[in-house]
Amino acid sequence: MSQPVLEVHDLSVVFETFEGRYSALNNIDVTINPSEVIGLVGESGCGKSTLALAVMGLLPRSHAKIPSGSITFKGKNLLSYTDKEMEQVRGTDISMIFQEPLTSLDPLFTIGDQLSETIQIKLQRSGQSVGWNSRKVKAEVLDWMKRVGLADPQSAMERYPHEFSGGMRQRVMIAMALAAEPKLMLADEPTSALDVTTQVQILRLVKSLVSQVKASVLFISHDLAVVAQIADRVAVMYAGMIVEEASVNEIFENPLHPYTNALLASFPKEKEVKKTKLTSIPGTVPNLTRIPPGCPFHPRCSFVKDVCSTTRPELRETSAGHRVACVLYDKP
Amino acid sequence: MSDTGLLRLEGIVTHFPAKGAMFYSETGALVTGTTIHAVDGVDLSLDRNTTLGIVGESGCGKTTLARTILLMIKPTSGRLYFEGREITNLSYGDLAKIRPNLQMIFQDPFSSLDPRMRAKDIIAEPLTVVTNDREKVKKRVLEVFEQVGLTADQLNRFPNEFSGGQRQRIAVARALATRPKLVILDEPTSALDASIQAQILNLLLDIQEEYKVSYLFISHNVSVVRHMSDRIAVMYLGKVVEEGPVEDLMTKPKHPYTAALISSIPKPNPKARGEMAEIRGETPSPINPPSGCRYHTRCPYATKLCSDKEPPLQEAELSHHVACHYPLNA
Repeated sequence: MSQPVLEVHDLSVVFETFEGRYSALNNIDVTINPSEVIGLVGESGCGKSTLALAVMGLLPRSHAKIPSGSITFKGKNLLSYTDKEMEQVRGTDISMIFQEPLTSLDPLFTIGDQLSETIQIKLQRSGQSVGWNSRKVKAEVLDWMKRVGLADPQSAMERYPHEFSGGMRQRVMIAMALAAEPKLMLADEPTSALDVTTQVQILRLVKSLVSQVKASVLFISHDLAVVAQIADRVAVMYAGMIVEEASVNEIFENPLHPYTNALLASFPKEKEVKKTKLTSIPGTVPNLTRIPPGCPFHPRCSFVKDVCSTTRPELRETSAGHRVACVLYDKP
Repeated sequence: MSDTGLLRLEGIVTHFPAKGAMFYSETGALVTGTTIHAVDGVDLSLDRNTTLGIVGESGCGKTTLARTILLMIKPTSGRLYFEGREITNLSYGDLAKIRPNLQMIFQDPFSSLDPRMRAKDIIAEPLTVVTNDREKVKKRVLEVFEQVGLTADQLNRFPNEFSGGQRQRIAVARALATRPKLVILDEPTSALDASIQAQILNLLLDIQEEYKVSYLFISHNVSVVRHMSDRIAVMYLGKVVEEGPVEDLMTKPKHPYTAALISSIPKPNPKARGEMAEIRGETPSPINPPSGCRYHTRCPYATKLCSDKEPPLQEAELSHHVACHYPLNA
């Protein structure tokens, strides 16, 4: 396999707050290969978004500390970049789309103007000096608006974000994120605020455009079903750790970690008898200031052993490409 | 109407004035100041000890319908019957006597609980309407508190000391305190994580069995509604387009919108990729809903009849109703 696009190695992130130290990420290892879509799944507060922000260099410096780890992109460690260097990477090499497109778009500028900015910067970085209002930029803006399926692109360019529906805004965000033809796009719950019928449209769009521009994607979602539809590989997170990682078919057909199993079982299924009890996971997601010692999932796990409360299991490969952090799969 | 009927809605219409609203219609003409057709003629009925699920996308009028049933909003027209008695035009005092029978649980347990009230006071509040006996209230609060899976030592805590799932349990306890006959659940698990969602759904099933309460279960999540309901009503732009027994409706949908909605649910199975159907276009505005059948602008089967004449909600099969000129699976 060719060189990976992004390699996150042993990354930890700690937030210092007045309530105490939050261990948001604990020794994360993720590799993203070219043109690969990685699904990152987990419940709220498990550190999914923190990972994306760390890659983008957008963690609040005042209280986020990175005690260990490296994020290698194009052979260089992003964590050693200065602000200026990071600025060059953001938006052109690595771009990001968010859950709520309305808060990510500037309400005071038209859609066309906001897209122009991205395209102008891209052209400038490739050595062409063009104005943001130039014909060349405008033509490319129009082209991108067509590619993301905005109806009547000519007049849509002149409109403001509030005049669009949620699905349309997300299309604009996708155009902005991919117009610079990045190597990597981080998508943080891009369809969670949308209706199911719009979600289908957006998932299809992301899939086809990403393969056109040959970008890799880190697709963050709390919804396993959505990830099943789009990802090539899936990483499951719990309390700041990756507990399992495998190809999408493996995760759904042969889930190993008790948390992954429980998460899959807690979905209401089509064939289940109506109004019967669902399999639920007892307890709640731990507070990140007080992550349980040993395996973070052990207080809620139904296969718990004595060793689980003392030793933190490492992410180990059980079969080719399938890694799991659980003592149940340790070879004696 | 059968004698088991608990709630019946006849032609419920709830409109809101949209003063100063201004937008371009599809033909490009400027439209100003009109009405939002939030709920536009809904007939439904709900039996005792059953669950009616209401599904639909945002803006289809699910929540407005719920609020209208509780008379938090007065319907513009139509009649509401509770236990066979019309309640649409009851006086405030008479309504207060019925209210303990009707309760509601909201989506966001962070905004539906008063942050300055202790858990025990939140649950006791609806009881104070029913009785003045403090000992009785105290006893009942403890009883429901434990029933929803919380412990007596948490009674004095404030909402911020509970997790999202626990707060939703408090909301359930508050709704149950007066032993209601109908509880309206407006997206009760949408703000919760998957592992917690299952806990709350299980709790709601337990409670229904014990109290023989009826639920009106509103959600955009079709899989959850399917699991919880006996019957389902599908709403689109303020109208019920299809209503029927859950299995019938899910496996043999008759309205093209229902069929599209069901097939657009992502399945937790990577092998089922590409099975999701895509509906073209977007939901039109409820300020200026399309003529005839409201779904005709997006429907693959639409003909001229669909844009001219509105199809009534009719029984297509035994107790399975659909509002479509060309129903599927007929």
